[in-house]
Amino acid sequence: MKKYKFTILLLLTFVIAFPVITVKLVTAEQEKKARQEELAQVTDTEKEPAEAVAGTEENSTDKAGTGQEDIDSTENTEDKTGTKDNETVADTEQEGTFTTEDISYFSDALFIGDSRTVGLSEYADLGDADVFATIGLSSFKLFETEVDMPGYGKETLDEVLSRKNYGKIYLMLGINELGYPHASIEKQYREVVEKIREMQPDAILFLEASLHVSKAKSDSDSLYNNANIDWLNDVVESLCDQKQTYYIDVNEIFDDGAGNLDAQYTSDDAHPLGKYYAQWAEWILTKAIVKEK
Amino acid sequence: MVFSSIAFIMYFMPVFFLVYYILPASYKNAWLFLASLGFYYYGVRGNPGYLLLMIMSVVVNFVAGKLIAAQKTKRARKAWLVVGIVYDLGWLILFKYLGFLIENLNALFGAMHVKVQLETWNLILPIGISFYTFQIISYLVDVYRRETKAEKSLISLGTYLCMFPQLIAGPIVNYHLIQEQLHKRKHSMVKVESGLKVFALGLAYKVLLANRVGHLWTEVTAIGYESISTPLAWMSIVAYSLQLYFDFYGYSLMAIGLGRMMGFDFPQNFNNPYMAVSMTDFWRRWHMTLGGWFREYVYIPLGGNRGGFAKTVRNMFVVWLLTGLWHGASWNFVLWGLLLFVLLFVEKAGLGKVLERHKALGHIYMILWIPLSWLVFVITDLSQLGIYLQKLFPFFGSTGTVLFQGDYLKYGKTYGIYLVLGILFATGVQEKLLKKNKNRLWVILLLLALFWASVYCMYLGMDDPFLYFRF
Repeated sequence: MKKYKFTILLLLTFVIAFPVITVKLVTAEQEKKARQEELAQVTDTEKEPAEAVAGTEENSTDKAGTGQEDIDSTENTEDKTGTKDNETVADTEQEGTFTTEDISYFSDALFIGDSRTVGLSEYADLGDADVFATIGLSSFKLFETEVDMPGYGKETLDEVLSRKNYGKIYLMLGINELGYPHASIEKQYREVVEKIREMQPDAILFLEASLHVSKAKSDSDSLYNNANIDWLNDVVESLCDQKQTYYIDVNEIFDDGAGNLDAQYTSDDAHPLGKYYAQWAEWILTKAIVKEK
Repeated sequence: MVFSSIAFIMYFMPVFFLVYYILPASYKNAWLFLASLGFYYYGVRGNPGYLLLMIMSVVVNFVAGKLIAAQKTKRARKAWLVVGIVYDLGWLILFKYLGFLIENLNALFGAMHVKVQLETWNLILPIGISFYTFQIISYLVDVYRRETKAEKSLISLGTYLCMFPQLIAGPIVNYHLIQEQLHKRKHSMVKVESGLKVFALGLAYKVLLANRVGHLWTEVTAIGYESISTPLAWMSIVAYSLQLYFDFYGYSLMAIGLGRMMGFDFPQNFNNPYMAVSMTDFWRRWHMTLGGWFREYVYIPLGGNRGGFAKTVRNMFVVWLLTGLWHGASWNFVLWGLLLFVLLFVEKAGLGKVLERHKALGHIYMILWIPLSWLVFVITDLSQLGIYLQKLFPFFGSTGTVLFQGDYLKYGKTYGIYLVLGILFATGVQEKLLKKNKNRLWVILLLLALFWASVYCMYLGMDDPFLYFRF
């Protein structure tokens, strides 16, 4: 028997591990099914209610609703003509209007996010902005995670937000959460926004849409696909009042025209190539809000 | 189903071996054949026709082998051999090379202003076809050469061709090496114990080392080669080289271990290739069963090195061009094969002797050529290859800008440990140590820990959506 120690030990450990792993796999499978069913429901019902909500906003002449329309049309003309002359459209509104600023705009900014924000901080010029970002960051872990902040060492977001008053805060989260039930993602994201709001009441808060993934990935992934990301972005957008909280959607510069990340900008189907982050940062500067004092 | 998956290790393997050991000897091959078909079906279930293709290959070659053996004249034997080989290679060419061929013909027509455009084909390559096609050709040739008799049992031939340990990624076992074992082999607890240990080590190489270190290459590809620094470029191609080796070597070890558990004695596939002192030496140590196949069924039939210098060079050229194309249907593989041919030619012409004599020089030479040859292997787009080369050797003119100056420090922090371990293990020192102490308790516990750590990693990677893809 002594000669077969490895076989015997392996068999013994196998007998213990087998039921544990099997049970875990079965529950994981069930959860996956539940998620897929939930997603199927969301995609079934998504379209109509979304339109209905927009409709009621317009009908009730809610200013946020019309304001948003104005901004949308401004964006479109900007895109087509490349000029920024049309920005006076929404001047009379209470809501802020996007203008283009230079890099100094970032000097009192904080970027919070996942790997895409990490990419921005590494491959684009964010000026003097602070960056609280790490790969895999999600709203569920946001206030427990420590990030190495240059000059301050490892800090939690609480510490970062207590240390300094920021003029603007950019938040891009959500895609790592997609494995959770949608209702809890929505709740968690809202809470995160409220908490940041509370701690930094004077900052302009930019909620960034999550970048789409490429068509190849979207078509083959039951979780990280663009239907899910669009659902997420709708949630994010619904939290914006265009007064203190603004929604900016970078997909307008990287999309292929069919709601996917254009394959030419990526080689891993989920992140832009390093050289395109600069374009992203420049685009963020065209979505600047300057408060009049 | 790959060996490094929960499905294989937790379910397929235990059930398979339980039945295998219970069955009397005369049924073991049939069970192995059947289970292998199941294993293959699981892998190609998107295209179930591919299972049929493999079964057809067994049947057609079984008949062809009998026909070859039955012919009295050499000419007639050869005729049937050609029929068999055309059948076998036909499928490989159809699935692997036709798309590439048409693409290039269309480009050629375009360049010549011929207004003919052929329909492009995009077929999914049947898993393992590159391996099993070579194995079955070895059978036909061995029968043709009368080195072995034609197989009498369809099940034995099916077992040879389809057995799951080496179906997907080799080793390529030539028929005459294993024919006897197919009919008569010894099973023993000693072999089981040793096979399981080899399997555990291979699994750990694949899951704990290759997968980890290889992630650096994935990350750098996502950033884009234009934007990386020179140190990161070197780190990444070294990481890729280590991934490729430990992935493939690990897989070969798992196959050998599984084979041993069934009483088979598969040939070794790797012999510390990164310790080679020349490219010639390297290819005697890397994927040895592929090199062996090409030597036995292409190089020597062409005349080997017996026809004078010019003929030898021609034969080398053919072998390395085919070796390149065997790895993939794309121009970079042709280029890769040609690069190897040139290096081997230069070594044959004299450099090899110098390198053999001055081993230190040989190691330095290979430290450069191992990553560079894998670079040509891995980057399929030739313009991207140019960009990468300029990153590696910036003094030849640089391209793109390094946007993130300290990138190598960041990635060094994450991957440094795997790079160091990978380089250390590529020397083979750990295996000497394990072998020397193979019956010590600490070795057994270490292998056990490696095995379960690998399973744990596989588990995390498979069913935890929060870990398998993180943004």
